[in-house]
Amino acid sequence: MRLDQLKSVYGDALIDDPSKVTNPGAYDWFKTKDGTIFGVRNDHLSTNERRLLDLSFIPYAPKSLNRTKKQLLWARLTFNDTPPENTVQLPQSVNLIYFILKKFSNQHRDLESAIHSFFHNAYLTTIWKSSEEGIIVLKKEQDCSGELINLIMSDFYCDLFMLHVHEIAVSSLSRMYADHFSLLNKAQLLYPDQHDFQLIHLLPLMLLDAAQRQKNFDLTKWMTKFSELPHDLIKSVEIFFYHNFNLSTAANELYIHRNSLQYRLDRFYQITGLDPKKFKDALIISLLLDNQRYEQRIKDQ
Amino acid sequence: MASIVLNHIKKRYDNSDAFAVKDFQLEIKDKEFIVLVGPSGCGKSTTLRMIAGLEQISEGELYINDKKINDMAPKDRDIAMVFQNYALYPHMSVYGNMAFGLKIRKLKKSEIDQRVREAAKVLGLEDYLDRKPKALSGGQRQRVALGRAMVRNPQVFLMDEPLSNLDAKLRVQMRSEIAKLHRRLNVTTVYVTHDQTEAMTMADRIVIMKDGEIQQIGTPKEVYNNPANVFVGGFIGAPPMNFVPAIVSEVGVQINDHIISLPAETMDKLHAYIGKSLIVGIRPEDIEYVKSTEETAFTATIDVAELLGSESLLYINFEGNNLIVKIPAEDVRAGDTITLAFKSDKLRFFDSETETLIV
Repeated sequence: MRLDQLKSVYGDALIDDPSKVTNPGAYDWFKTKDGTIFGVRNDHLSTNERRLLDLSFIPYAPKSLNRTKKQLLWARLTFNDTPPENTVQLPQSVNLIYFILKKFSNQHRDLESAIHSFFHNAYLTTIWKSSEEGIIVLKKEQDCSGELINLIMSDFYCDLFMLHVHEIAVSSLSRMYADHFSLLNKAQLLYPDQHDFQLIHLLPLMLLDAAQRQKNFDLTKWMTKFSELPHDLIKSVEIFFYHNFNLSTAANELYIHRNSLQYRLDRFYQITGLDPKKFKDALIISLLLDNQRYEQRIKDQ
Repeated sequence: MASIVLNHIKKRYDNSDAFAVKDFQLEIKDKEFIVLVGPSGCGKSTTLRMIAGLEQISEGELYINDKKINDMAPKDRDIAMVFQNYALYPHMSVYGNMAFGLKIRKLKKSEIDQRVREAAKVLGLEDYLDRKPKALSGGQRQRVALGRAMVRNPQVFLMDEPLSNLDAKLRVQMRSEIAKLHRRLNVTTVYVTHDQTEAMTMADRIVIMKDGEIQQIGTPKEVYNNPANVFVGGFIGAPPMNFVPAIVSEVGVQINDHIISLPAETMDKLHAYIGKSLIVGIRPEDIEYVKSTEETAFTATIDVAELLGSESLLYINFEGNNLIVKIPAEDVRAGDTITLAFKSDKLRFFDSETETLIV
């Protein structure tokens, strides 16, 4: 993908010089391999387009967003793999919270202040990948169990999605950040009601990603089979899993008789050969259902 | 102060066919306390988030004070939100917590100070302004969370299950505190909960939702006495309404071998159902414990008896149907045979297929 091609797509929404704009926070910034920096207005970018640009170019953190020395140091270390001078002491490992903001109105400094107040002594810095995505760097693990999300929502009137990554070596930040952001982007698409994710809970997504990269492992046949299943069968299986395999409570939620649910689960088994009542099969069904939902969301976007 | 109109609001995620909220139609009056209640996944929080502006509205219009606000940024809607957990900055004082939202709005220090102290007075937090959240009780923390919303002087309060994290005793206490606060501030409030007791005790009007659809809108008394359908009857009230299948005859309804005679007025409304089946609904407290044998009485053996203090809950089997009966505390035990009667004016009749209220 060349810059002139992008220009023909985005027109005036693409700027190839950060100094030309007074509101750099309204843009997502990238760097080409030859070092040219350009930005695309974030209201012109869908999640998929942002992901595509992330893969094709190097995300660039403009100085206007990472304004302090500490932020610039961590941004360069993470996004450009540029280690600081020898005189700067860095910890061996840190805890990270990747975040994506929605409907955020560019109060970056105030948001940093809120995050700092929340984590207090555990806080190192916040680095911005774009005006709506960033990483909170913490010295030690902090349990914030949704409280920060609600604080940010109520003080800044925006939505916040977070991915917690514990004890990551500073030397591997630049290698990991793109995958982690990609994972968080997928997670918030797949589970729009959930705002707080731990890396370990996204293992199914990572496994699916890895499986799909294997040329010899084609999920298409399975996905076609699942897509042809009646909606009530899929919903029944999902609710059955949600209720931890408890037929009675799942049937209650579905407003059907226990025997009707039993019948639907048997029918699912007959069609797919996967038995939702068996743990190992349930694990596979759950993965495939996640994949189906994710592909549907991508298609819809 | 504000009135809110949700006009045929629909929410669909990423153009999928399924609607998370379907044709939501509601007019909330100025100063009203509205409770959205329903099981998980019914669309109540999504509706609240659409009012807040955190969720895009797929179809329909949203008005606050006659102004269409579908595309207005959340921060410009003049609302304040209170959430399930306390949502406080742990290292800031109570004062700092309450002032923070105003500071980032760049209000003058004197104005912030005045608003924080006023809110603290209303909430009984004046003596705690210098304390950190960890030095407060659960109830005090929740009051600070309310204070953070109050200092904004919003047109509308949006509360998303604010009491769910509290223990049962504190929940009851905070329920009445929020109700008192609403009476004092008179701010239009939309409150989301899955707890029907909260809905019944706090709301001016309740909106009961299921699968993204409104099932019924009414005062707590209306929805309790005249549930629009079997779902509402089962969801509102603890224990829930009893439901029994029956056949309509010329003079009443027949539940297997038991016939309940009905007044002529009721029979007129059930005329189209003669010879057909329907569902009879009766609240547990509307089955009476009678000592004499009346025409409408029936006998049943108690499967389980639970003494709740001033009342007893009896689990009985009537004509093959399990029923729950709530009577004043009596010395009855499992295995006893007792005589009961339905209060015929309290019987409700639902269509067997649509499950909607007939009369």
